Formats: sequence, C-alpha cells, structure tokens
Amino acid sequence: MSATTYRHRLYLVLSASHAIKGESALLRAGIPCALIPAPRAASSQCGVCLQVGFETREEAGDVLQKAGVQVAGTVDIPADSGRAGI
Amino acid sequence: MLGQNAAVGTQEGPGPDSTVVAGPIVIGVSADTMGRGDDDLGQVLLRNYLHTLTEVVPKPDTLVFFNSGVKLAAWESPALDDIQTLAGQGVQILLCGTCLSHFDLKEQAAVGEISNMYAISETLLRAGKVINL
Repeated sequence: MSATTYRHRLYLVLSASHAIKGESALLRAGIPCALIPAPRAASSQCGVCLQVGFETREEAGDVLQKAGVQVAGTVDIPADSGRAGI
Repeated sequence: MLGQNAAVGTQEGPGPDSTVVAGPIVIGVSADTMGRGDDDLGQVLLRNYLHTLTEVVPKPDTLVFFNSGVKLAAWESPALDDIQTLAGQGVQILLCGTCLSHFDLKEQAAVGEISNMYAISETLLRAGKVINL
C-alpha cells in the first residue's frame, strides 16, 4: 500500500480581502501561490482560497499567520487529482 | 436573459442543462474587474471566474477581451495561466487591438489573437449566446 502524495495545499480564508492580503504576503516572501475559487466540496459559500505547493505549505502557513490572514481551514490536494480537487 | 440574436432549443428535463444554445457561446470581458463596487474584490472575482471556466462545462467558444479587459491577457496578468489553459482547451481568445494600443500593451499580449472591431462584431452577431461581464 503506497502513501498518498500531495501536490498542493489550499488555505481556505474567510473573505476575499484576506485572500488578497495573503497573496501579497506570500509573493513578498517568495512563495509561489495562486488565488483560486475554493473547491465546492470544501465550501458552501462563494469563497476563495490560496493554493501553494505542498512542499511550501509550512512556510506559507507561517507567512499567512504573521500577516494576520485568518485561515478557516486547509485542504491537501493529492498529486493524482484534478487542478484544484473540485 | 438571452438577447434578440439568441437561438435556443430545449431538451427534456428540468434544471440548468435543459437549455441548449444553438450557436457559439461568447463571453465579453469588458474590464479587468467583475461587477461594480470594489475594484480589489472585482479583480478577485474575475480571476476566479476565469479559473472556474477552465474546470466547468460547457465551455464558451470564444472570449472577447476589450477595454481594460485586455490587461488580463498581458504577460504580467495573474489571470494569464487560466486564459492560456482555456486557449489550450480550444476556447478562442480575441483581444481588441485598439484597446491593447490604448493601454500600450500590444507587445505584452501573451495569449490569443489581436483582433479588430469587424471580427469582434461578427463574432458577437453570430453567437447563439453572448454573456457580457
């Protein structure tokens, strides 16, 4: 049985303004990210999230916390899933 | 609501899939924001909309970018990846050449065809459905 490997981590944020703030903070820190719609399975709202590479997830989490971005949850996207696991 | 040039047929059954458009679906992107009220929010919404288009069906046949909408197709645009993905999925991307010139972006266009008002007008007139953002 092989362990699941992951491609991305999605940081679900509370609002678009938090997403914008988080994106700026991540890019300033040199962490590639994408501001994308939250997966349907992860949010019943018209939400947004920040997608980072799985290998940068811990660093990204620290940056978001220091920037005051309120994270409502995280979703890890397996390597063999679609683009955002929607 | 569909415009006068819309030609639609219906399939059996309720729901959003019960309407079939009998012609190309064209989306007009007239700004680099979606909706009015807050431009920062509008930019996020439009980026999300374009990203979502890459993952849903039906796909539009053509995206027409004009006025400040052409900024989305420039090299520095945060929406460029998604527009390139759509182009790779077979969606035609038309960019208003007049608008690119106005914003001094003609050398920065990174995806799609630089077009003119004749081609854009014909595309809109031949559409089965036009969605204006």
